[in-house]
Amino acid sequence: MTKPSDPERRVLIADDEEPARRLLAEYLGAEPGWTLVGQAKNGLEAVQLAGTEKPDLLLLDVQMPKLDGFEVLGLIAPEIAVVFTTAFDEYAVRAFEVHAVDYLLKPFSAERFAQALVRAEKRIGERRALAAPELARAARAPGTYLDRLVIRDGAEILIISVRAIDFVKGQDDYVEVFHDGRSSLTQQTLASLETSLDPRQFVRVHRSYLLNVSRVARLEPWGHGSKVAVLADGRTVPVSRSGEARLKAVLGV
Amino acid sequence: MHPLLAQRRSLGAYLLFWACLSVVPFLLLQAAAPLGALVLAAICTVAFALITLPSYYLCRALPLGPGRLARVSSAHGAAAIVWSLVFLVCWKAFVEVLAYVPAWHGLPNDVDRAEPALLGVGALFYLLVATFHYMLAELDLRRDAIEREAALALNAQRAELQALRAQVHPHFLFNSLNTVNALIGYDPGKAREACVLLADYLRGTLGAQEHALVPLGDEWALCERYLAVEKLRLGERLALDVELDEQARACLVPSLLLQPLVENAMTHGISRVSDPAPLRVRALVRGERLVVVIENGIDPEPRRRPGGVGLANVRARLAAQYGDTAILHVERDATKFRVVVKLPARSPASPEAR
Repeated sequence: MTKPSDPERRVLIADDEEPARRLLAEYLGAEPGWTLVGQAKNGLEAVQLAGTEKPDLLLLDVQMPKLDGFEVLGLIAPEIAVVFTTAFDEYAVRAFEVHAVDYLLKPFSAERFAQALVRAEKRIGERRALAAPELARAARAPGTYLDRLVIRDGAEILIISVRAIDFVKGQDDYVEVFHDGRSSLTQQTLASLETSLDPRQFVRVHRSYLLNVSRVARLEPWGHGSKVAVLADGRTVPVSRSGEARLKAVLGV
Repeated sequence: MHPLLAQRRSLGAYLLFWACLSVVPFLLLQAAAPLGALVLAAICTVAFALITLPSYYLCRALPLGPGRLARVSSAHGAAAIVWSLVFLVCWKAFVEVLAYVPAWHGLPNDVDRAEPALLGVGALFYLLVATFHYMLAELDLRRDAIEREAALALNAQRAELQALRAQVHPHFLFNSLNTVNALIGYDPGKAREACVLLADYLRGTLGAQEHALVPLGDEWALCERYLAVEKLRLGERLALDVELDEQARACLVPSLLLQPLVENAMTHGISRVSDPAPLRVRALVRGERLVVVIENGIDPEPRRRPGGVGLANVRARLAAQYGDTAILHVERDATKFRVVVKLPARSPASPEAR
């Protein structure tokens, strides 16, 4: 419960359906201590408003145009508390349960909404322990992989088709994605990204490298039994001995 | 295998029945040594009952039916003569063995005397066995028919359930209920309208039969109810642009042909685009063919490629109904997804339509 001297908690709604937004606004209006600071009609707007309005809480629909809820989660400040809303998505709901993420199943009652606010109040300000990519992966149907990566590059939000990725280089908690003749950094581990990409397309050829097999032109020796993969455009990617075995298994040679 | 040999209890009952029937040849024999005659009659009759079991296959090969009387009766007549001779041979063989018993010396003479009567009884017994086998076959047929009917009913139920599941997606239902819940707060009149629209659509899908042919106009009416519910949820974002020729509306199509295609267009297309996106539907008759085109806007950077179960299902149903004479093909570019269905144009009045 907020004391009267406390500033009001700031809430952002993100849902592509007008009736759903109005319902959330109505429920929220009945709760003292919470104030609505913005309504986003799609994922991209949600990210922009999260940046400008600095909400404490984001009520986030899973299925939205432009960016989905999981992609939005990966692009906003980690201290924003998030409550997901969804109508029906068995994998997403299982992922929320496993990762202890709060969610509302449409349609929901005002009472259930109030409970979610009570829980959110506790979470506000604590930085999420959970990384968005892990949650998104858990919410995907088994055997399905990412079709695109969404990365914030300064003020710009990049949507990168996985087919446009040449290779990925891991550096501690970051990965550098080489695509479309440029590279972009995103906060994620290489191991986590590896499990989100189709293993028939991307192979861990080295402790620090994930390679799109369709870009490989040839392998060349590089001393000490290791090799380098030469890409069609002439760039090279180091290949360890075990990486070479994995690469050959996928290429079937 | 003979059904009696598979069930020991039935076989026992069968042999017991024949042991009782052995009283007939026993009486015919009118032997001076009644005990010997009884033993002989019992052994021969039961042995005969076993030997005639293979006639089951003859009965199966010659099912009863109109116009088959001559064939069936001549075949069984011939078989009756053969088996009655076998019956007599049985008697002659066993009586030689039994004659070793001193008190039963006269039995071979008794058998010789009763020879014509025994032949007649053998033929009658054979016909009795054949009748019994026809009864067995009839019972088998009936049991098979009952089992087949039950299996068919179960399959039909499964198919109906599957169709129902395919028609009303939970995602659609829960989203619609959420819309109703929201409308109650700010536009109760529209909430009521939404309830009625949703009920109309659900009733329409419940009434739809998987294998029925319906006029395209009726199938489109069901889609309209679905779209009316979606319109409440998506508002301006759904821009409908529909033109169906009168001639096309009258054509018969499999029920629930368009609905999955329209739902696909909504869930993978329109609902994933932020700006107002058109749903264009065209239907016209070109020569002998009915052509239906459904086109929708799509997200230029899709998270998941569309297609999948809905399209495959419609394709399979078209193939089942029309074989090679119907096609469904898909075209896409950066902003549009288009499904084209071509099938034989049949109106309820045309002779090929059923």
